[in-house]
Amino acid sequence: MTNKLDLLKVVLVILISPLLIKILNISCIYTVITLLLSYLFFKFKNKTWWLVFLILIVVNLQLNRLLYIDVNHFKLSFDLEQSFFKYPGVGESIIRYRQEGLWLPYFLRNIFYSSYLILFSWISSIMKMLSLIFWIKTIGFSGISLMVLGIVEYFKKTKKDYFVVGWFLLIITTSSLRVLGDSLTAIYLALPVIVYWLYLGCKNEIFKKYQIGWYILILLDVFLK
Amino acid sequence: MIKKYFWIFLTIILVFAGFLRIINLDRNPPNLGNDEISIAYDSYSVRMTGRDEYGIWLPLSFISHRDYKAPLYAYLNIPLNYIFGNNEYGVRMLSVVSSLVAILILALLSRSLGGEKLALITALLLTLNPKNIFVSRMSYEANLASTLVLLGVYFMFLFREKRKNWYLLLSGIFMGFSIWAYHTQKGLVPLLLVVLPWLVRKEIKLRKWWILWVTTLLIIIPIGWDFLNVQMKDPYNRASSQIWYKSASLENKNFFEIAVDPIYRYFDHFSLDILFTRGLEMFPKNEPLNFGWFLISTLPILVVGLFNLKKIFEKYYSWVLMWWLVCPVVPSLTSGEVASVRNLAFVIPTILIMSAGFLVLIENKKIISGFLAILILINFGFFGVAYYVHFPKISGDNFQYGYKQAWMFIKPIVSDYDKVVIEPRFGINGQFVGLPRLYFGYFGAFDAKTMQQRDDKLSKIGKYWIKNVDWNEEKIESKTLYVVSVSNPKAGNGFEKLELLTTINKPDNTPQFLIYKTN
Repeated sequence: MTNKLDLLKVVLVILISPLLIKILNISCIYTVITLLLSYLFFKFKNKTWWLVFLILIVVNLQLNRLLYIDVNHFKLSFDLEQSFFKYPGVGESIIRYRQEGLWLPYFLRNIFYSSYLILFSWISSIMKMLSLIFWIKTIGFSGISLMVLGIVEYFKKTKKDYFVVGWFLLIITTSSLRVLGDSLTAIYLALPVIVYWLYLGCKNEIFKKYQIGWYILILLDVFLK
Repeated sequence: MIKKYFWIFLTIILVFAGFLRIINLDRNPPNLGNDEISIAYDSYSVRMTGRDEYGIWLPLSFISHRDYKAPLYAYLNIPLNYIFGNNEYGVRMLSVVSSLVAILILALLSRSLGGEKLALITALLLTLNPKNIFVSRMSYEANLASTLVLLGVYFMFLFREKRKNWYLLLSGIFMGFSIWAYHTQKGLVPLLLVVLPWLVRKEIKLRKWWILWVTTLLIIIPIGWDFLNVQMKDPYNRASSQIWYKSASLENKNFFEIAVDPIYRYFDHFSLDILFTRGLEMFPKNEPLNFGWFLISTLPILVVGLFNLKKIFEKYYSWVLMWWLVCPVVPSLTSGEVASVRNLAFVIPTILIMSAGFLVLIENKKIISGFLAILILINFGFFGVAYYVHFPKISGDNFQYGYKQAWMFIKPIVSDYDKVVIEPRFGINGQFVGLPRLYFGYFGAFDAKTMQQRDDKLSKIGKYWIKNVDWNEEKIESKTLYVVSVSNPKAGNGFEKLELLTTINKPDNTPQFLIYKTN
């Protein structure tokens, strides 16, 4: 009974978050793939995790419109211009740095102005997606409070399942490759992990003790909707 | 060894910090910015005449751009202005000194909390901190204020440790004067003075803090009086428009959205991208060499520090944590950019927590801490290149580059001319509005008394006219110099009388102003 109630709370969070519209709008094939991968992952993790992660990368890049898969001709194409790899603004900046830093010794210029500087922009994008405010805007105050408690609960476990964190980070890092992406699309494939953490949050002692406060947050999220 | 040579190590760090903050101080940032020139001019004007640029005698707030700047920086700067003269050093040095004092005091505070090792790590991390370097090279009142808050908090820690009342007196003095230094402190200081004693109410009875509260209160009375009777009576004062619910982005929002906005803003101050990858805003968005308030390589030690606060700071951990959490509260209640200097006081406790994290790693995971130390140095190298090489090149417009340089150009010949016309607009399309009167006044075009007697309706200061030039309407007279925006080259009636003397270029070699003369 408690488990069902906890599941209801998780569903409630998703229902009042902007994620609901995304779930309804997105092509159902992605939802089916996500469910299938989750099943594979949680059921046969030790054997299938690498396959799941590989498919996740491909599907997530495709979902974020970075990768185009032409099934008829077995063709894959990566949209470099929408990613940090070839985004015009980033490349132009590196050329400008080289010109401005001409007085620096050659070997230093090679160190400071190489194309790997794009990593900095990518890291910035990852940082944005790992920020609390990003998640508050994505799953609301009620969702973030539950998710944070869930993560605490997860790290308290004696037998931690680091593949779950791996799944989450994989989605964040691959989605961040896109320069101007939609934040909800970016995290869509991380939904199973988010739901898992939300569910764990319901088991947390602090949550159980201050549940009334969480209902107030739910109300606040509804008013903000 | 660290204990024995603590002061030698600390001195070396301070010298290095001084070097990072003083090198090319007159050229990077490339010019005095909007607020800097205002403070510089008012400080100079008070030194020369006892009055600010508007002729107000020893003001308790400087009108400036209707933001009624807190007065302490301008007053403390007077001796430095006397020593260095009217140049960049004459206004930025106080900020450099504040920053060095902050490094010293934070090291002393860390030493009393966690020993010499922690103190040196803290000093080094603050020395290498991008935000601290950035603000200490500009005459920001916020930098002075955050140092004063640090001093206030330091003496509160000392009182808690040694229970001597004169620590409370000193704390009250510094806390009080921090309110004289910057507006954010009007909210931050009362919060700290209530929250910190309340956290230890079982250890020290609340009434024992009365000396701190009374001292602070006595010191801020004049500022409070000025705030109520001068600033609040000006219907156009900026303070009234800076409260969050007056923000343009909240128009047409419902009550809940407006009420919750400060909470969003509060959490925004903890955004990892702002703190670690782009909050410094040295370059336009998406440029790879953008940096945050802290080096990205220090993120792991912040996390480790937060998890080990209790272990390192023992009974003081709640104070450190609360100091860190309270800092963004007041900036969250204002509109405008999240990454602004309003939250500058936040840097200090963050560095303290990071240092704790680094100390834990040094003591438990030597290889990881060594790896991180190398990463921090490499990361700082990139910041150094971004800040010291590229930032001054690209940021000319942000610092109204060109007015000082235009004055320096016409200075030797200006006596041959009866009239000088200067355009306040600048930028490639003339899209910005600057303050040429302050630049020309500060760098010596006219004296402080002439500035005070200026005709604001005509925008005329002696023979200097500050106005945008419409060449079709302009009555071109002989013996006149024109300093016009590059967006407004000569055209229209009588342009044949004008002769181009020079073009003032920005540090990136793009043109900013054109200087014409008539015979």
